[in-house]
Amino acid sequence: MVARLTSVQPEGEYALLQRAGAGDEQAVRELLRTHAPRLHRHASRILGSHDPDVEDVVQQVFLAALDGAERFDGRSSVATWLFGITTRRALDAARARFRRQRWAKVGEVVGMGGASGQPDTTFQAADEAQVVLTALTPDQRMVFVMHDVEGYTFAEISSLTDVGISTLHSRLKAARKRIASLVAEEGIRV
Amino acid sequence: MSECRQPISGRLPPHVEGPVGRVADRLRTANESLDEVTQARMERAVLEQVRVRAARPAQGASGSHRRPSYYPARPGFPSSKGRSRARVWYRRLAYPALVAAAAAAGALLVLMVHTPRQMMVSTDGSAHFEMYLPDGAVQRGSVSEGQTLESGRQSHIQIALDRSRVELSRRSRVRFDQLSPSLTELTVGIGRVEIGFHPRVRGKQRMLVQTRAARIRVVGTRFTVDVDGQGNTRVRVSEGVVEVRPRYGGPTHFVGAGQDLEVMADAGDDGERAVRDTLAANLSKLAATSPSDPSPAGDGAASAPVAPSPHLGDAARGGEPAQAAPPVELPAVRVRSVVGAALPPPSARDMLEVARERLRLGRHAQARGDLHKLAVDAGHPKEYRAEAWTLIAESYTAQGNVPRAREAYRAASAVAPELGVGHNALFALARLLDRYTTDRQAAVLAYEDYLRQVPEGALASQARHALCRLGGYPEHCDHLF
Repeated sequence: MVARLTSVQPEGEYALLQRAGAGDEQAVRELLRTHAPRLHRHASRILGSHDPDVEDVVQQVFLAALDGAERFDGRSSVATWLFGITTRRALDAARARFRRQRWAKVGEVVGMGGASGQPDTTFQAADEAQVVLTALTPDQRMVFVMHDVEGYTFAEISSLTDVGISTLHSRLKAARKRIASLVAEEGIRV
Repeated sequence: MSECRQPISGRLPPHVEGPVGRVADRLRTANESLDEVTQARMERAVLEQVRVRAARPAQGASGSHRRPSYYPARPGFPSSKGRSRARVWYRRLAYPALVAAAAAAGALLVLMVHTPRQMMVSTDGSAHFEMYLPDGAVQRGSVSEGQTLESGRQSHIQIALDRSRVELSRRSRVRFDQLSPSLTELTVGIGRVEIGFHPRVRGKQRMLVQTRAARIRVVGTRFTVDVDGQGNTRVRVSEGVVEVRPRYGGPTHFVGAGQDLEVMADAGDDGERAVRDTLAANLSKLAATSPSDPSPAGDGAASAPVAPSPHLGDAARGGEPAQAAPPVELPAVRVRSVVGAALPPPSARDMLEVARERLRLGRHAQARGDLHKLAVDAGHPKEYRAEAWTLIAESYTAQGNVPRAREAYRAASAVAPELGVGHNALFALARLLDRYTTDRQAAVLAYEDYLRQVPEGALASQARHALCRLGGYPEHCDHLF
């Protein structure tokens, strides 16, 4: 069964997306200003808050949305639609990086508070919780963030990511176990 | 615990006890608001793309618009039509593709049997090549990671890698170390290889070319690599910029369009060094004392002394008076202008690209040096100069040097006061003063400057909020609330 994330379609949002997809710059601006902050926040949780790819991912999401605007049928809210694209794009980026074993390095850098990524993001203080996130695999991180942090149900996450509910259950269980062991054994303070 | 922020889903997540719950709470309440400057930069980038697409001939209008691959089909979304079309498309092409693959495999087998010296190819199909033989015939095949291609005495080979091209001149040898979507890595054993590397997404795909003497990193460019029998390497760039790192130490060089660079595989003994230096000195003197002679650097080219031939090992062994030369450090790497070439100098865009790459690698001082040259050169377009000042400011900010960052942001806004990049610099200056100094009055003035210049700009709302927060400006607060 497909869960509907939101049942209320804000008035004019669909029209705004269509205008943006047709190349109306004012509409593109409005769409970006409305949705960019939360999409950026979501991507940064999956990829890591100091990751320079976050910005790229969010830009790609908007470009993808503008490309696909004419095929958006309004059965979910624009926000949910964009959120789904962001999840998949960020997850793809995180998986690619994870395969290259770069997460460990990013984790160390963030943990030490050293400079990484774009210069203008480097003064943000490293957060212990972010360090914990870096220890999870991208799939575990995604389900933990969406379920335990953002409050989505398994059905909703499943509909957004095309991953089965039982798989999500087991990934969340593994993620929680990993976090608990990190906090207990390595003395990370949260 | 700080005040709990509303989650994205609009409802509170299930309560989890223990450290897991605390981590989730920390993440939920963390202040991760999108940076205003980042948001403005993203807005600019997306709008640029929108304009580029609008300028292209409309392909979507004819109904041929294809769904991008990053949309996985999901129930409830209108993707099923696109997928079924795609399936039919694949089915129609399956038979010709099979025939083509069989033909390619057959051709490959023939090549391996009949020309074992000229190439070794795989059936993997990671990269396709065409070998042009002296009799006009063309042989085709594919090569995969770890394999080597070698052209014969009279043949040359072209290899297609996504949107890039590699061309082996005759008697050249290249090994393909990696052929992944994000990285192409080649090792040039000998000969001349011409490379045109044009990634689909700049910065996401990279190319690394190795020789016995150097490692060459490419972001997006066109260049030639010449390797002789000793491994001495010459890199000639005709478009863009490449980074060359000598394998046997020495600084990394960025070689721009119109320049070439020689890297010695072997530094040689003292005698060889001395002969090389003497020859270089004599040539420089000769050039200096005969102004009527046409300069080998050509019109408008940089007047760097012309280096002697890279292959000086034999000359040194010929018995030149080594003791006459002063003990000078070996210039193992030489950068010079291409003789007689009418190639353009590196563009401002290329210079910015190189500086960004250096900043990513943490080479702040080097990057700022290059950016400063670009920023103060009035011959470059204003937007690039302002962007250069902005990058300098960001670099200083990242290193905690707020006074210098402040100066650089001011310079950026002064260079292009009417452009978006200048407005953003002005806002960034205000934010810097607001967050990282105690000079509240200066921050207020900077925010007000921004609002005076662009009262309806992308960051105007944030500027008004900031002014309201800084206090004493009821007109902004009235406007907001």
